[in-house]
Amino acid sequence: MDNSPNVAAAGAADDPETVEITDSGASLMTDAERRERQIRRVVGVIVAVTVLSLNFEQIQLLTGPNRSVLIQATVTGILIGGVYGLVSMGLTLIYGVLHIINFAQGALMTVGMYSAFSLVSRFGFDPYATVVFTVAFLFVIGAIVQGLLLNRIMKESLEKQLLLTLGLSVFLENVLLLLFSPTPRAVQLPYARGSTSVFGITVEWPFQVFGAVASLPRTIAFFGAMALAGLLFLLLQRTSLGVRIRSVADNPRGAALVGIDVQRTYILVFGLGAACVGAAGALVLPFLSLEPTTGESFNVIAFVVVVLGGMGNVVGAILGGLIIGLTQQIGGIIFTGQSNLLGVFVVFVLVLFLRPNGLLGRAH
Amino acid sequence: MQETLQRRLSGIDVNSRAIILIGLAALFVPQFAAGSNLDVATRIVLFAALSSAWNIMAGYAGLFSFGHAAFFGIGAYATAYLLAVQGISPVVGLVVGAIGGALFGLLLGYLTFRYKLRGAYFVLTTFAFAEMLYLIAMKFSPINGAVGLRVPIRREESWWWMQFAPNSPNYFYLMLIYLLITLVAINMLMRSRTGQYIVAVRDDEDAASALGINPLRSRLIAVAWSGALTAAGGTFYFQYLFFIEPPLAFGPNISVEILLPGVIGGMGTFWGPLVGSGLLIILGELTTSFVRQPPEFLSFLQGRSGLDLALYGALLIGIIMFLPRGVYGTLAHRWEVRRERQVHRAEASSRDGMKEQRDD
Amino acid sequence: MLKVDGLKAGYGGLTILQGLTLEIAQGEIVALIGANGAGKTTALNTISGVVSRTSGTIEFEGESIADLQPHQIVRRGIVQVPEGRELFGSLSVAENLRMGATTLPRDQFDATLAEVHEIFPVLAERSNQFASTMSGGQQQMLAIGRALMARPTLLLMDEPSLGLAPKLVMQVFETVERVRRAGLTVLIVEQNAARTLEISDRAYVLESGEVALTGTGKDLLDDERVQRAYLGM
Repeated sequence: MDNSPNVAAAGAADDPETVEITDSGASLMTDAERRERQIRRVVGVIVAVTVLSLNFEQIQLLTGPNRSVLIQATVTGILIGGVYGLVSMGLTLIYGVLHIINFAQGALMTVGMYSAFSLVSRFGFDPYATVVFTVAFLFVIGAIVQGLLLNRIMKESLEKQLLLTLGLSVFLENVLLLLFSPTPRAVQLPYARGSTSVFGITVEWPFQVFGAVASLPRTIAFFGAMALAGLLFLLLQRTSLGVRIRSVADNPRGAALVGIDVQRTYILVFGLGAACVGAAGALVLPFLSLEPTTGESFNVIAFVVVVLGGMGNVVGAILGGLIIGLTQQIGGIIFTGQSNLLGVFVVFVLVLFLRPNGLLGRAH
Repeated sequence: MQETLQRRLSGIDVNSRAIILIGLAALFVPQFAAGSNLDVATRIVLFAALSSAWNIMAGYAGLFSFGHAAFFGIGAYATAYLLAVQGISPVVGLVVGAIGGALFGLLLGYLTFRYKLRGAYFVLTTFAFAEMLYLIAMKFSPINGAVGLRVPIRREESWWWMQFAPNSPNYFYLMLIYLLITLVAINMLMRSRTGQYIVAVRDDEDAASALGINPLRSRLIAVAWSGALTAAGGTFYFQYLFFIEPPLAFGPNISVEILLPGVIGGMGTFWGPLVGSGLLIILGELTTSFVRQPPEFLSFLQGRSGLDLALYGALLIGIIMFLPRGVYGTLAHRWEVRRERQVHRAEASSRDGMKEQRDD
Repeated sequence: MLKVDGLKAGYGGLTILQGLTLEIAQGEIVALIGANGAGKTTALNTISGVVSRTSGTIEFEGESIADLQPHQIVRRGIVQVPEGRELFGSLSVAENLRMGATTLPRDQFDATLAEVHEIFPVLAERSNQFASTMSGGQQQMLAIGRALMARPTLLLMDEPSLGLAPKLVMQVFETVERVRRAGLTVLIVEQNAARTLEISDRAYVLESGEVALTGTGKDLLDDERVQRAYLGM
């Protein structure tokens, strides 16, 4: 009998529909049948429209000798998707336990990036060595935010909590703007070109795979993000702290009655969620340009990922991150001339309407 | 937070009286304010109207929108396109934009109702819709994509073309007309039976349905009005700024600028958005002049941008924590409570009076 | 052991308890019976710290516990088996029990778990099963077992027999007696007044937030008013 990696409660308070009292979910209700058919129809229409709207050039791109463009998109998409997964994992963890939509997730990531940047430019740290610091620093910030601010309004409406995190986001972003000015910053990785040896195998960077190129910093970011996500997952599944967090997510009332200090658990969880983006920020610094608004795009994407994966579902966040990373890159090819976010938002809207519980959430 | 007491005074109601008074008083503003001060006043009036329009949906109907930029941008671009590309008067653009805003609102309202998108999901949907319009607008060549559109300069002032001399007080009056019409519309809507239905559906949709109120219809009316009035603001904004581009029209910044006054002032109250708008914009001005010439020990702040917004963020946090009903909302609530206590006391003493009579 | 005096408490603006006074001595089984809305659950929740009191006192072993947080109350030794069980549905039986032992010193965990498994063998059998997939009766066993994992000195039970088949109801009451024999003090709230009064040493009848009647279990069973109002005679 496997333990579900779900952090979400068995009856999430924000279900678009009231939870049906069926026993195993296998019972077919007419609503579900109708939905299935609807989904199939809409997916069919979308595929048809997409295929028909692709002109000849684009079809060549995808299948012909220029397949490498598609492969490159796939590689880039998966690599960045790993980072999206880590960012979203923090967001979904916060939502699953606290039922708070943390609009400041992106801004916190930017704080992480600027902290890492300061350490690198001021003290000459290796960018990846700063991860330890940013994780700890953002954990503390998250804990303080929850302890001082959010814990007081846990009983208020969802909009109020969202507005508070929005206010925090605006505040953080503009404090960064004040401190660092809008000038874009960047950090170079001195060993991005060259070779490294791992377990006796020598690898040349940038790495060539199937005709596509993967840069060292992006690859490190991917594996780093996956490793940290795995650690967080193990923490939630195997440690007693993790069981405690999942208990509070499942039933805060029951948790209080069992002797768990729920307020303190909230503080810990928000800290963990912030620590995720602290790490992500340090990981992306070597290959992204840094401005006070850099975190904004991660913020938006994280919301799409969380809804796609199922709000509160940490495995769904990882999966969703990879899918959205792919969607972004491949969508950028298919919808030539449009922003690569458009495909992402199309997916977002589709998920919201057709399967708001996400891929790994319970069926509608 | 909620205005449950309707004042049925004979003749004109309190809100209408206040609107008339404010309108009359505001006529004199350009006498006392000019140049940048008049610009501040104009912006206060504009965002008071925009936020009030937002308030119909978020405050009275309980549908918190985080993507009102969608409506705003539709109005702005409708006018911009008709004027800059087709040479048609912005008055026409105003009407077209408002209709467009209403239609988009109906679409949003219907889809979210049909697919039961509530709470967090509703908020995210409004955000997604605005973002999609932004992304599409950026690459949509008929409206010049990322470059944006400009108001073609005319030689004479004209109300029909909504264009005046750069320092003309008429821009202020234009926004004032917009605000007054918006307030009158909201007042009429919320005092009508439809308005009461809207609030009833917000408070308890199931109970309202059980009473025979159609929740979809209430929602659609609220969203359509909100969308139309917000789109109208987009038109006026374009005419005032002489310029529009996708980030300005559809970006999350404008969505936040529209909702902040309502939240700070008090969602679901009539005067909240106006109070909030005044507070925020004046605070912004004070901050800007502070940053221009900061005191010695803060000299590193000189000329930097971001302080005003950082303060907005902090203010928003403070309001949520300590005055969740908003500045005006909290005051209105206290007056309400005090009046109810007086009524109670009056009832109690009259009861005692009657009791005494019986005991005789 | 537990002394409640003039306790007033409620939710929002509504006061439910209008001045509750009761006492529980060590080793007793005390019942709290009364109609729906009389305040029985509110009473337990106030003792557990979930609901704040507006006035009155609550003393446990000589110390006031009236303004403590719920998790602090558990640490003092008072554990509630709440109405509706409030289990962790997405967690396994073993994890639920483990959480029950949150306040227990780690070295006592294994022994306590063994004891709970002995009382409720079904929990040992289904250790890895999700709590939400168990039957009503099994869930009740888990709820009680989880509460026992904290080694409480005072056990509060809110409607433990609610919704259970007669055979399971019997099991529940047997467990209550067994638990008392092991040294626990029990305050039990029930609508099933007859069975509860039979096993109780003393009982309180709650009406409109106040104590209307009190006496030994047997006395109240024989009381005419109780018989008419709560025993369906």
